[in-house]
Amino acid sequence: MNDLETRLRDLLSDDARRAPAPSGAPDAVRRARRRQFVVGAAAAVTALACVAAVALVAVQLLPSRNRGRPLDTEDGALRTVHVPYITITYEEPRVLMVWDQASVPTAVVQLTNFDPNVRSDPVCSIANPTMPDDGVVLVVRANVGGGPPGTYPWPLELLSSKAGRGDEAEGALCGGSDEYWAQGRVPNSDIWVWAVANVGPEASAADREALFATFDSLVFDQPFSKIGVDAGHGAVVLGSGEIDETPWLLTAAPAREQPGIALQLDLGEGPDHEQGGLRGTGFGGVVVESIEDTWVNPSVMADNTMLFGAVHPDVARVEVRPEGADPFDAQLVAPPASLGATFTAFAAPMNGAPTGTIVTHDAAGNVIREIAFHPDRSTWPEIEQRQPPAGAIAGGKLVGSEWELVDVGDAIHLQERTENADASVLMTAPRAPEAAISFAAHTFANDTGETASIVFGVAAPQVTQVVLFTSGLPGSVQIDTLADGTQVYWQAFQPGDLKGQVIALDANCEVLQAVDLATGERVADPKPTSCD
Amino acid sequence: MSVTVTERAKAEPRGLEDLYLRHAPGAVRLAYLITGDPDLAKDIAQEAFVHVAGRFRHLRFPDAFDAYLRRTIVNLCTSHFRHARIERAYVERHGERQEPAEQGPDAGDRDELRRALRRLPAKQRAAIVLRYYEDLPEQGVADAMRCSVPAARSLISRGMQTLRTIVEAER
Repeated sequence: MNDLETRLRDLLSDDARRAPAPSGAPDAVRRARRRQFVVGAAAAVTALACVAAVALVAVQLLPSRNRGRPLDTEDGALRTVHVPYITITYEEPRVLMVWDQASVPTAVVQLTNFDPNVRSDPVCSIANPTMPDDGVVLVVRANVGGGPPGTYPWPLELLSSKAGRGDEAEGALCGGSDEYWAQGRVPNSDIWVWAVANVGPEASAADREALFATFDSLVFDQPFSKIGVDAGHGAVVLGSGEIDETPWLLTAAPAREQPGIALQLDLGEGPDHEQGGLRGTGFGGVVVESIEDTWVNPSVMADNTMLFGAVHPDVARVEVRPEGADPFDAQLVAPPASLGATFTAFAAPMNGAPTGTIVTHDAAGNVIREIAFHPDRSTWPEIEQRQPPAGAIAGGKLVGSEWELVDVGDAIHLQERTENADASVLMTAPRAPEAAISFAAHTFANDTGETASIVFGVAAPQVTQVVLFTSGLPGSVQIDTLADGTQVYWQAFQPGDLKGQVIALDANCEVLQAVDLATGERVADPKPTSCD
Repeated sequence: MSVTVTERAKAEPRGLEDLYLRHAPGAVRLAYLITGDPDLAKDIAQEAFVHVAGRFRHLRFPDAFDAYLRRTIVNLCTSHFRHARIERAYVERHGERQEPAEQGPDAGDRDELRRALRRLPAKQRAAIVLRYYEDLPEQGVADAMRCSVPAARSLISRGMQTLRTIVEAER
């Protein structure tokens, strides 16, 4: 034992002798005979779990050698999740869903040991009236200012409802299950709580016990600001944890105004900047309609990074390789099947804000893709665009190379401007496409190995939209119409792996032509896509 | 003959009171060493007891009451500091609270170390108290803090490193 340890032990032993005597037993015992309590803002409770996180506390004292080290998320079976008004602790594996309603400050959480049809209303409601015989479900709602007037006992206890087992009448909500409910107002607050639990006739004793333990773990606290969940929509919690003791929540929900699944990360429950705030890409997410490859978003908070994203279900492993630190595996979470997501989410919180690479592997261990990440950008194309030079259709700069698209009459040239303003032709696309589009592609690379590519060509008049599928998410490309009506399409993207397709669509969203980026050849099986 | 906690709990109405009297002093000491606040320590110890004992019938291993109580105390302490930080204006990241002035004389070195300990983040401080006062092995610290052994080891290591740096800087 070294000197510091010895001194520390002596100090702690000495200080322990100065500890006060405990409060009187009767009061504690009286309270213990109830099974739930609420503590106010001065000392919130997180039940029998804490979210393990290695806090990079004094960046000034522990600098860059710790960048890129993973922040341990919760280990073991217990998970604690914070949403507005409610903190809930439960044993995995479970499906936790959260709802929030902007019209009334409310949070609803639902915990099940089965896939609850996440696109529907809470289980045992009119829209979602059944549950498996071995299922257990707990639904808790907390809102401000609700509930009938009057005095209610506290702490809450789940009481058996009148319906109970045996009510198997046709149409009964979750008929055959044991039902319990509780309601009341949090003492010294205006938070109204309502909860109902259903236990299927074949549910195990362990699941039943865990359900009640979770109910007992509930803490109700008025939030300082909201975290998580688009208003009115149920979202599935895919991951949770803490960075610098501030909670984060990764959720997935049907996108509101477009097809696809919204994968969202929310951080913090205090004023953003005072909680270490966010910089770089910030919190947020992506709507994933179909995932062909990998999407990565680094969100930097308080000098730590929350790397999250989506990968194709064939990806069995997401390896994070931060620069200057040991590689580690990201946490992979598959959303419940009822969500209909075509991706697997991943999360990788880590110390510092390093750059690095994400490497996806298939089940056989083969590398599928390597994608660079940077604390200030996601894998969205990051292209510097400029006013094109006179006579050029488009221009810009990619990984240090100045480029322009130029109409030379019978073709469209991609040219690179050199330092002495000379232009060298890099690639050519015919002006008159044989089919719906002509196609050309070129990849730029700089001295550090960064790459970016441009695909371009001419689109026939019947083409109304051109969609590009690459390592990022599919999206429409730029179409510029020349004076004579010729449509020139182009799109730059980074990194510049030529893997994917370009698809030309007509006004009826019919596929006219699909071209493989790597070969430039027409493909017979275009990627599924939709129109803007 | 040792009486298991389960049997004690069944011996109501005295069972819970006996349980409290047996465990409360240690609970208060642990909370006091982590928080440094005597009143807060008593409150936390009581809340922790209420919470764990109130769930007693749901504990899978009633004989592990001690471990559950310790874990709950650690959680309450760290949660207290997290909410205190939210309530206040932005504070320096390396110190949540200043230690109240010590009563009576004390060695300069001990004061220095005590101040350094108080400046640690709550979780590092809790890990160090569990390791060097409760004398728990790394697995025990991990269980109490509900984290992995490597995470516990890292909390202890970082805490000690920070203590060392702070103490040396003040010299």
